[in-house]
Amino acid sequence: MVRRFFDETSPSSEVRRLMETEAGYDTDVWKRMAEELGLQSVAIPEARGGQGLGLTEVALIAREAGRSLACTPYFATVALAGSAVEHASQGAARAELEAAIAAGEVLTLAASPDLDSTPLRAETSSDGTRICGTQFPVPDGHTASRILVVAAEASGLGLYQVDAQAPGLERRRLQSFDRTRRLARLDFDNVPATAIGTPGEDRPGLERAIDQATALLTSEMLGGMECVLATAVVYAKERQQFGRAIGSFQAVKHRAADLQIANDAALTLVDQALETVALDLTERPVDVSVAKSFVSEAFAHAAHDNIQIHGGVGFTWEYDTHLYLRRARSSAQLLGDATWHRERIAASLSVAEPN
Amino acid sequence: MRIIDTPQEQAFRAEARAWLAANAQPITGTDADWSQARGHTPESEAAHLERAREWQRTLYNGGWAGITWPTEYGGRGLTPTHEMIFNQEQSAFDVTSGFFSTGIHLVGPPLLLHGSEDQRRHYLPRLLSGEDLWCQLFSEPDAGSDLANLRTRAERDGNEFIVNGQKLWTTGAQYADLGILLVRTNWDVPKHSGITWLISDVRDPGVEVRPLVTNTGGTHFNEVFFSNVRVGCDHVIGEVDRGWAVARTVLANESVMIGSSSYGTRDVDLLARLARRAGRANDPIVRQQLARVLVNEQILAGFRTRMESAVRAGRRPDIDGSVMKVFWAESRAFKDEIGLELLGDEALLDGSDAPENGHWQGAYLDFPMGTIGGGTSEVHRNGIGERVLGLPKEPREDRTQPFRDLKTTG
Repeated sequence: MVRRFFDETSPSSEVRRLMETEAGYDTDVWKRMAEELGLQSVAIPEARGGQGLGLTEVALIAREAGRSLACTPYFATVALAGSAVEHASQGAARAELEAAIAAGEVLTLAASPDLDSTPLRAETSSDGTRICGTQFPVPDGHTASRILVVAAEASGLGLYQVDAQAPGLERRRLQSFDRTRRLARLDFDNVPATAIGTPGEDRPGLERAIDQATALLTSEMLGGMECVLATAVVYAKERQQFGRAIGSFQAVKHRAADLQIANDAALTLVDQALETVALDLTERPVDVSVAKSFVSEAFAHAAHDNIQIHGGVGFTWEYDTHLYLRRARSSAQLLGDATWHRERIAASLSVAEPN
Repeated sequence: MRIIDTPQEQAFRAEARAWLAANAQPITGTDADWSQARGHTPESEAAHLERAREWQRTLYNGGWAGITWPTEYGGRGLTPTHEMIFNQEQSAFDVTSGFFSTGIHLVGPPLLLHGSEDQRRHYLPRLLSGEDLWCQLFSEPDAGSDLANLRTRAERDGNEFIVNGQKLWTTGAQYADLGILLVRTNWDVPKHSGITWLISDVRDPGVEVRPLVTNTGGTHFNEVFFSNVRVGCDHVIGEVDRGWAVARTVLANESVMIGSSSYGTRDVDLLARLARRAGRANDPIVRQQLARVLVNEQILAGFRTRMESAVRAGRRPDIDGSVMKVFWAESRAFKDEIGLELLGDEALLDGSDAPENGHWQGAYLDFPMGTIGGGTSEVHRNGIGERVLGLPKEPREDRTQPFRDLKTTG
């Protein structure tokens, strides 16, 4: 059902139309996603307007969106903001935000994957909390109606909500390497904010939220990888040179076989990361980093090889191959690149302990 | 994907664990483990073989050999899930069936499927009890990746075949009692159609086994020469000239068996220990490499889990044996390269002057056991391209012509 929806609403022609628009997505399709299919609210409890399903279903939607390169604020709203709401907000604020997501509002999260280098500062005085600093890149930050913000207060990290129209907030859309994902720079100059968690105590929840968003990103990337391999295989079967299909040549066949191996590996790691995130097992950070470090390289490699298999037409504007390469390579940098995640893995091995 | 035992499976696991604890020692992950000993000399290899035989007999007597095989042939008549559970439990102990695994995994299934009732009743219990050691007589000098190009000939003479030819890369032939032997029985049909499976007594005087020394100095493999060796027609497995289909089931089993082997302890922990020993634990490049090793290990573990869950559900695995095999071979070579690098100057040494008695040097040289043994990575990539992705085969001229007319027949 989800695949059919994206096949129908996000063919290449739509992707190419939307990637040239300012908003970067189709508001009608986004509305249908919320109202007809409830895609934004699959993991939100039924009591708060959702469908009460789990991370598996969210990941499946992300994977299908990634497969079709859908131009949608789904990642920003559900993976980023949704995960933060789920794991680092409480009470009435949480219920209200979940209702907003379920109703089809666009939300995003201004945060760095490395929470130790959070660039935003929060200060609370008698007239409330104010946020200062600059955060970029924030996916869909220029169109979101509400912005969730991770900021450092004297007592520690906190999760806050900022209204998109709040005074002192400057939002600027940035030109993105991946034309199908909108990125913005947000400048906060004493922007009024409301704490939605427990400032100073939000860190464990935020870590979990960012791990979850990262696992969902790997699922989206996996969908892209699957599409890229399928496209390469179709082309290798069709394209004739030297009197036969180029896919019959071992040089091409072996490249495709390596992509199959990488896809199998990615699928395995993404499933595992999603499972340990959902169950919040102790392996969670390592499994997420294992998946993100591998998929970051594997997807970019696959998108690259897809172009190589296509030959000359593969690097024309007309073919979507470059759109997937852009998506792959920029997703590799998003939420921590492969090197950063591998260092996180190494730290878990206690490599530096005495012999 | 987490796999959870049913209550019955839990009970079986507990029974297996209790029996193992009573009959074997836990694995330590150190040089003290006999089951993991590598870097063989002929003497240590022969001693290893006898311990493996002893363990195989212990398994058989305890009712843990051939868990999935029918009881009338000495097995236990249980499911692949039971076998997997037992293997998982067994991997925590310092035991191995070693050379006997080849026979059990590669000879057993085709004999069960294609053997005559007499063959099954005679050979299968002896195979399970460690009484007979089998080897696989497949490859030849001109029949490696292109195995169907084999030219060892078997000519009919009354109720016997007379076999002449040469086999190569035969593991354990110097110790073996019996071999599964692929021969050409018909030269006037295409190459895949004239091949027959025989059971061969490799202790026959016409069979000469010569050790093949590999690059590590090891003599794991052999060349085996057949000179007018007589094999009774009752030693044919399945039908004459129809052996190729049987051989293919064996080759598929082989790549899965190789691709799913594991050593219990995590390689990444061994490498982390080496990094600390070398004072390079804080070297960012080393840390990146160790992380890559862990990623590879998690992928392989995940592949095994996918295979396991398919076996448990009785469905076709959603992961191809060749995918596992190629990935395993490359991960192994990568890990061994890192191990050697972490030895620093000691990587220049070998044998008893090198750490762990030259384990990392041997492992480094031994990479072809992964990338060539059990089918080269290239052949497996062809398989992935054609079988999994549906890419067209290369044009071939050797599928339809009679074997004797092929240019390569010589």
